[in-house]
Amino acid sequence: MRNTLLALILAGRAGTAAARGNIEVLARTCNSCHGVGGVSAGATMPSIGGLPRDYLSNIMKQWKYDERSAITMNRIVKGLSNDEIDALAAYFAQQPWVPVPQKANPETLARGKTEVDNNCADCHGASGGDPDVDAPPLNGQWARYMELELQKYQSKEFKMPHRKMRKAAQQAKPADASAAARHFGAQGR
Amino acid sequence: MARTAKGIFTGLLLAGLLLPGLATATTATVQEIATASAEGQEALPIENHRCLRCHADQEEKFSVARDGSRNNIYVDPKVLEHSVHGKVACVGCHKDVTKLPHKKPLAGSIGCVECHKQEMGKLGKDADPKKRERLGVVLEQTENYLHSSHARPNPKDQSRVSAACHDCHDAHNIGTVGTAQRAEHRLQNPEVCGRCHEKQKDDYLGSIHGKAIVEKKDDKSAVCSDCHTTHAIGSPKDDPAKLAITKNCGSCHKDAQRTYLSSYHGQVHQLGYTNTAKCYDCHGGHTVKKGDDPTSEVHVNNRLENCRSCHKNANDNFLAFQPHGDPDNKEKYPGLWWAKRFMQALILGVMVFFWVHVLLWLYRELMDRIRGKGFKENLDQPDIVYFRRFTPVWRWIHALFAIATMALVLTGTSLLFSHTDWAKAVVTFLGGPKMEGIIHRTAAVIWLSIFLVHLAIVTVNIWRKRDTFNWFGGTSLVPSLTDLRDLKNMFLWFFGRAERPDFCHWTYWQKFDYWAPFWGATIIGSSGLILFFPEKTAEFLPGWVFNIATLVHAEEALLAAIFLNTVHFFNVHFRPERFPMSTAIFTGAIPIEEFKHDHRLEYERLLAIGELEKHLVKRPSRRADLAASFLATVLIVAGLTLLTLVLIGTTTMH
Repeated sequence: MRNTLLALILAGRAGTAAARGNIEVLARTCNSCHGVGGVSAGATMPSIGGLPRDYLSNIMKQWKYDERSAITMNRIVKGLSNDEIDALAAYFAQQPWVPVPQKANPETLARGKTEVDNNCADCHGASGGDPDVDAPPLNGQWARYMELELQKYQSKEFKMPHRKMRKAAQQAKPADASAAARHFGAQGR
Repeated sequence: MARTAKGIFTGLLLAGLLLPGLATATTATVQEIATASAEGQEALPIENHRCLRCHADQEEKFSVARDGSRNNIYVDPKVLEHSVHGKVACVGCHKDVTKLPHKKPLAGSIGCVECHKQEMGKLGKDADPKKRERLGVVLEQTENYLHSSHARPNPKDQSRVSAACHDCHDAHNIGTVGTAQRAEHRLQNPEVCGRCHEKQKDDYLGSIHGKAIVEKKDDKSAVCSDCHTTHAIGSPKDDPAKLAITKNCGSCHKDAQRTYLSSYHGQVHQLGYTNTAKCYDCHGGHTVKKGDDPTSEVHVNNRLENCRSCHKNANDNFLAFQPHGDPDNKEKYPGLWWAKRFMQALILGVMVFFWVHVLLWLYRELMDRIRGKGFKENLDQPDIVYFRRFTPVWRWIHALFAIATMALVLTGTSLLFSHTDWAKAVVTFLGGPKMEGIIHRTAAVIWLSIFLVHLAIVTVNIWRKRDTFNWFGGTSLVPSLTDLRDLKNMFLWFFGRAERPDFCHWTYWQKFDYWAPFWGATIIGSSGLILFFPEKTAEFLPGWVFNIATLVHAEEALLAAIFLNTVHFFNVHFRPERFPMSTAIFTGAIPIEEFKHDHRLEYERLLAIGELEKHLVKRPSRRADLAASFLATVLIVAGLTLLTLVLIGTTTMH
């Protein structure tokens, strides 16, 4: 009896190790764009390491079921099972969030701060590093990527299921939205 | 261990440093928070409009937790604005929100009690008196709540109280007195209480109160808090709650409460005891319905069953009892009305006549004394010869009669005047209404026994002298025309138009004192027996007899108590010739000179037939005299005390 139990426990642990191994392999496909450990090196590609698990899982499923617009990601995630999506979300959520502070001119930063204080801080935190449960951290995220995202959210054809974020983006002037993106991009830890 | 102690010390130090700051933040308004922030803090001030960005979002009124549970987070900004807390910062109450976005879920506890106390402390001398008054009400209610059963640990979850402030009050929607919000909250009361008390709510919704609230939106109908109070809510199994609920019924049903409190049920209840029928025992509590509703507990078809919950052997005659019988309502209760009018006329007639008699007598004796007339004790030659007025049997009978009567008056009036503090104190001292009833009935049995024993002795005495007994003679207590003449002559003397009349063995006022208990024994005794044995009585008499019996028992007893302790006391003890007291009924003898003055005809009669000697005795010993004076003093003081209590009761009765 005791031997059987031991065997079951060992088998379970072995299975967990195998699963972790598979996810790391799967995650490598993401790394080619989003960087090793989810820390992106390209200005238009977002860092995803350290984003909240629920946020990641949610957004990938929205792409999979065409609830959210995308050009490439919706195609990629359609090849993943929901379990794989959840496992990938958990994997990247475990990675440390590594901000990449980017420089911007002081005027833009000041304008961005005002916009962030007025419209963004309540969900993402004043510096983007203290987000709400359904909002991602934005401190040190790539500013150009955020700028492009906001432009997409401002388009009425673009499917953006997060009602409040879409509304906030559509209410902001393009220049303010851009400045807010620069402000978040300039933040470190 | 040392580390722990150090940790606690550090914690206390930090708490000490932080608490003053917290205290300020507790009641901070929006403006105060904005200013504080502007003075150099990095974090953005958490103003209400930032909170309302999410919490006033009509499209997302619910937040969904990870376990799928939904939580209403919506706050109507217009409602909040008109609430008494409309100018308080959200974070003034939600103190765990120190940044945005905030942690989820928020802490359940809001420091209402502490905040209101601090608010009161902050009021300056020139503060708006209305604000002080309202805050005073809030603090009083807070105190009531803290002692209520809601503030005790929840039996199902000891980590929380049974109900906290926000379980009943929607803190974002507390209207000031007289506002629509307030009225709406009142209509919602059964719904709010019913969240926990589901069965009671269901019962209530089927009641006349519930239907008026829910169907007619009649906010004058009773809601839960009207009966159970808003904050001082106790277990309905405990006496304070039972007393409070019955009292609160009377806030609306004033007449019903007045008539209830004058019944035996209500009198016991008013003394603070709950072992008699209360409003909800007969009418149903949450299920109360109109009497003509066949499902009502007081409907004529269900009433007997209702009575039987206490009176096990109640029969159909109980149905004729009028639990709310009102002797002042002629249309509805004519029998009771006439009974009261008759008793009042009797009391008024007797008392007015004898009080006039007392006052005139007092006036005349004082006038005579001023003129050096009237009986005066000769101090140079004190009497050593006494006339024996009373044999030991009559002295004992009088003493027992006096004590039993006083016990009856004390125990009876403490029930009749149950509204007074003295009655409550007396009943508590005696050990409650049950003991009071036992004492009252024991005294009544003693009283009636003495009365019957006296009748037996009198009968035997008269039978022995049947051949020579002069029924209307001077030694007989039977009233005669002589008494009428004496009465007329007394009045002439009062007005100074004749000499004081001479009397034989008994005077007319003594005869009145003697015969009054015959009437009293008939009225009080028979009504007392009816009330003593209600179920036996109901076997052959209708229930309304109890109403009449209760009324006449009390009225006749009042007449007796007031008469004895005023008129009888004056005639025997307090008139100037006797003041401060006569001890004749205790020693059995009076000085021969006093006898000659008061009963000259009897003195002369005995002298003429040569029988005076047979009645003469020595002066009572000094010890006997002292004992008699002591006893008389005790009884007179007790009687006057009772008179005072009765007068307090009568004059304060509503």
